Amino acid sequence: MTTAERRKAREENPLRAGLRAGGATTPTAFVIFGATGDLAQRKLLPAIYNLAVRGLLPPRFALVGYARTEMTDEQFRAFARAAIESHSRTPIDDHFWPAFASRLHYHAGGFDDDAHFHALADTLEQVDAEHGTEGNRVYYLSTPSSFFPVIVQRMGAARLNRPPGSVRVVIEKPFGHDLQSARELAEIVHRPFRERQIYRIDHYLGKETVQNIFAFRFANAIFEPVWNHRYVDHVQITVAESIGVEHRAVFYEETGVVRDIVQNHLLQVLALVGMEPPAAFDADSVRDEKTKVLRATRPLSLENAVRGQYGAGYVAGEEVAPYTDEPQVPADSVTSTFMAAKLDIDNWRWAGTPFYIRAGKRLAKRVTEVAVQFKRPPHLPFSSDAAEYLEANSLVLRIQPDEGISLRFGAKAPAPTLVIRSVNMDFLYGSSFLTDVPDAYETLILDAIRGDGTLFTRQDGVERAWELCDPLIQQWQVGQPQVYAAGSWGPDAADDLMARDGRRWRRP
Amino acid sequence: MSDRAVAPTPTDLAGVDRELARLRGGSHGTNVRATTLNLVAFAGSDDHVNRISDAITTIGSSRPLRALVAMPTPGPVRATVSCSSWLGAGGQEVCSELVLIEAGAAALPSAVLGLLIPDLPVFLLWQGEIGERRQLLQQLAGQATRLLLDSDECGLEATASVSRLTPALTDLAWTRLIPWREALAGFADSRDGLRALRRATAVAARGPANEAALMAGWLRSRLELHLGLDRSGRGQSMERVAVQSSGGEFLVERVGRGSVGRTVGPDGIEHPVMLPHRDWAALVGAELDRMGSDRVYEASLAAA
Repeated sequence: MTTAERRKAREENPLRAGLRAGGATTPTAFVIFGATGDLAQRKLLPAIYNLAVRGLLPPRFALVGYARTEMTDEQFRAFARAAIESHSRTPIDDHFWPAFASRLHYHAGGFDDDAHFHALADTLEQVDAEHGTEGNRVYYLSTPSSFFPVIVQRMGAARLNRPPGSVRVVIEKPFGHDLQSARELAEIVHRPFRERQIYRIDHYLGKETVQNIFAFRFANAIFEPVWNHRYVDHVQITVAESIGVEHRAVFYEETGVVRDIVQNHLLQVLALVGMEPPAAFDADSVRDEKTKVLRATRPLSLENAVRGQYGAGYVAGEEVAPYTDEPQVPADSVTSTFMAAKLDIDNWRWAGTPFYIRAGKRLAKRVTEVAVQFKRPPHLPFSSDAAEYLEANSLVLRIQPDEGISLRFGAKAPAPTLVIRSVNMDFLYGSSFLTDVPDAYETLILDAIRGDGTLFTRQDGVERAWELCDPLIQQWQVGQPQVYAAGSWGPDAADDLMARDGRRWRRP
Repeated sequence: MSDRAVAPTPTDLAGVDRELARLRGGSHGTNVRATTLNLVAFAGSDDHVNRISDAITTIGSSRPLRALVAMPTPGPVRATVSCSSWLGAGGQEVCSELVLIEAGAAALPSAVLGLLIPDLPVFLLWQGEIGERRQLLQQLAGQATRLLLDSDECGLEATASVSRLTPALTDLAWTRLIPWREALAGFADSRDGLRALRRATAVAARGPANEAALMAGWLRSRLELHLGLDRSGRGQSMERVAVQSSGGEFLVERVGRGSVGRTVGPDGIEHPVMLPHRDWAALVGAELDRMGSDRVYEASLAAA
């Protein structure tokens, strides 16, 4: 039965009508390549356990871990339990654990060994027989990206891409390190898999608050009419971290802030804020609109960008070392840990309304937010004294932490004369819904099992994002980033970038 | 449980909003208040008042609400207000309010109407039997967008008789069956399973009579079959459901006393499944997350 036929059969299942859980129903064998790695321990195994406890996994489900370490099924179950105990947002239910653990299996093997991949195919057939998973597969590549090509090639050779049922492959970022390598990777992955079978994870898109941008924009009629160049002066997107590179120095030296944050997370958020309303909330409609707005965006350019590298300073009262003193960072490193830029979008909605972006490490605080700065009223009928302190309206979508929405507007201050002041009206999601929010990986893994690619990135979107970033990355191969004090909001040049347009950064 | 609970404060009806504003303020005052719904709960006894009060301290954190507990009592209208707050990880406060309104049955609907928060949905939760309170239920339901009751308390016949009083009716006994329906639906996700279920001849259920009848009604209405029901057991929760078909047996049953169960289809493969015993507050909370009518329930009730 094809995937479409299965979906049709599910839709025609009269017993599903009215059931609300929203879980996956297709029998599935879920294979994690790199099952003993850091990501699997911290995120994947806990996410799958929580999905199981919430009753969202298909009734017929099995997980097969694949990694080089020799282990039996029982040892893998103990390994998984330890990982879940350490990292799950919910504690282990001892009554439920034996039933869950019985679905966990393990296959030891290298990533470049055909024989092991053929043996994995045999293991999966046994899993199908034992758990009734009907030959449906989700493969999750939880390995360093350098292993992706060899793994997908071996999968093709062992015909793991052609199981009796449906097949999907989940790939973690980075999707290449520039446009050319992204295309090369896609070419390799497209040999055994079709584009619609490939799920590229950017965990940012699995965050509830990022998805709330959809809800805010497209479920409320009052904002969309002013969401354009006629009313919006400019947009600021900030992705700030207060931490340094920590244990990722080797990785970070190869990537820097543009590849690590801007090419994926930040441009994805920009696309959600700038996109046209999709015809439907489905994978193709949403990804079409996201890609369209990225196509209308001009590439990052040297004259409209600033880079920096954190020096010594204080973050939250703690003295911290400069980037070049971090372990495994060369003393003469020119890697950028901060960038700010102005982006222009050449379409009817945004022509003349720039998007300013900034991202960096060791900034004053950890915050991700989108600030929509509106134009001032065309005419103020008040005396200049009355409106002296009146700021333009702004709408801030805070993604993390303290997720919420803040609207700034003018109000009369209580006084015998007319004095207008700006006031903020804050709405915190946490003050409306004090619920346990699922981890982004739970959302995305469930979507992959269900076959819903809406929150995953498509190859054309990935390539366009590299097209926007590559020129600047190339130009920044030479020269030095400006050093900024840790705990600040970046180098002075970032403020100058705004000041030359008569604007200034919001203080988050 | 809440992080801050303010002791019930008696007041008159006109003073309810003022008193609630004062209670909400305290040391955690905020200038923006988020409320998602009104919950009108009928209480025929002190036990009902205690049950809904306890439930609000559980469900009010994820669904900030105003609960108006209506209790028929002889004498003039009296109101008692209280408020529970929870602090989220970011320090933000969630606040739910509870107003106990005691009044004669004739005065209760108007007292409730005046205290509803405008523009928010109104859920009416009816506790206990309907009996002679039918007129009061009818008046309260006239203001409600959704009526919640429990046929385990008021009976299926009475439930069916009030189904036309409100645009949307649901039943906590039906809500208890959700994991069981999920498990049975899993069999029909494959064409072979659905084909075999369409040839079902009988259903056997071990559990409460109302829930067994609703389960049979659900299978009859969804599969469009005339199914016999064989019910057994005296427990307070469903323990086992087996659907007999010419294609074999489809079994869902609880294993031991915990939340874990198993499903076994005609292929003989056993799968673990969660069959949680959800407490009353969790059932009410789940129904507050849903708006509108439940056509599947209505059809199942009719076929029960």
